[in-house]
Amino acid sequence: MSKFRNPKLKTQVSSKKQKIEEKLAYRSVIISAILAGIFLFISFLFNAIPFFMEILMNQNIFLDIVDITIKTVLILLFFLFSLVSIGNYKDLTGKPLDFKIIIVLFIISLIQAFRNPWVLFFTFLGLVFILVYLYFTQES
Amino acid sequence: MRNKNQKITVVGIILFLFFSSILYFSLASAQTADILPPYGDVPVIDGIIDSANGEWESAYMTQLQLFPDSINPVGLTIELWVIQNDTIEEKSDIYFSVQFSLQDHNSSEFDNEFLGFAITEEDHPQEKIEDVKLIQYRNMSINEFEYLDYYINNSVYVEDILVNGEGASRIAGNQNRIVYEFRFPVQDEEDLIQDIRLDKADTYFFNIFFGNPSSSPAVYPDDIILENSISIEIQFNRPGPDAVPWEEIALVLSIVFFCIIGVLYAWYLYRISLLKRKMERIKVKNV
Repeated sequence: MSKFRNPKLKTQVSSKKQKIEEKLAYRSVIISAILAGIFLFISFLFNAIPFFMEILMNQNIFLDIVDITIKTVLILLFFLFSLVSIGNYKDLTGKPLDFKIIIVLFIISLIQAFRNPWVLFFTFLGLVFILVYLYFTQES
Repeated sequence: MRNKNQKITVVGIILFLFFSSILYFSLASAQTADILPPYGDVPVIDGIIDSANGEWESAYMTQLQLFPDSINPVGLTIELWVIQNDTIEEKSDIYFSVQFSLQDHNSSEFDNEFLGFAITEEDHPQEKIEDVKLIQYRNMSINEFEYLDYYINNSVYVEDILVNGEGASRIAGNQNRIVYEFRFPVQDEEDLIQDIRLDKADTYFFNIFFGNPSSSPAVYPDDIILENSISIEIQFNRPGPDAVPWEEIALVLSIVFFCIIGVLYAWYLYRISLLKRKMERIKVKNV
């Protein structure tokens, strides 16, 4: 048995592995983008259209909490899936995900909540939490 | 070095957004009331809704739940109607109607029923009620009731010497639905010691409460079993045609924002499709 590996074989294996990774990353870009789009649409309904906005509002404190939670979670999910999708997209193009895009996404997410101060406040906290979490996990 | 500067910029932007959102939050909370009562014709306070003459027609109506506590969401559903009288005089009135149905409502079981409003100024804690106005039934079947006006002295309900405002109630035709009607004066200075002064353009919390003790006389607030609060901004005067329609502006702005986000999203999808083509080209080249 040869003690030296065939370098050509090694390159072929790593190239195949890279292709699979690229395929998975591309699939992740698309699926995450679709999910972000779905959450953006539902967020549009619940944070902009009066009929949906007022379904759970001002009835009792319990429904108010449910209402704020739904609106906040929709925006946070939009932010999260957008970030994942764009991150993978950038990865495929060989560039890093820069701060400008994160800030733009951050602002886009906050703008969605501007009709309701409570939703805006909790969305802000959620976004900061996600960013801090990603910052530390990415750094490490 | 560049990376460090970028991080400082990001932290700065986030801090700026944080303080801006807090500022917006406090401003918005201070300005938003649940109800901005419309102006309209004065209803007669007699416990009867005169639909033929369009009474309460232009009032703001909302459905509310009166519930035993904040944890239990199951309660009594009521209709609350609010209107201010259309006057150019400084002194005006705000009118309320509360309507709901209960099984066998005209029976002796409800002889001690009462419903009222506990009014607090917006910048006071909600627990510190300043003025209470209520209708206390004495005999439901013969429609005997009394309109009562109280002020709070060290958590004790003390009856006002001068009764401010008026109230009436009546069981409606189907014998289960009851109508309560109230009139509270606005910018009234008749009794400033024992009554809250409702000022135009100020917001007040109106705690609507309900009770039905088995024995008479009722003890307030111990006999209150259901309640809920709503904030109302007393309107300064009839909004003119050039008043700024903030609600409509906010609606248009939010639709514009979402459209911009939608366009950005579509552009991103287009970029993804370009990426796919680019990847396929690279694949073909490699083959």
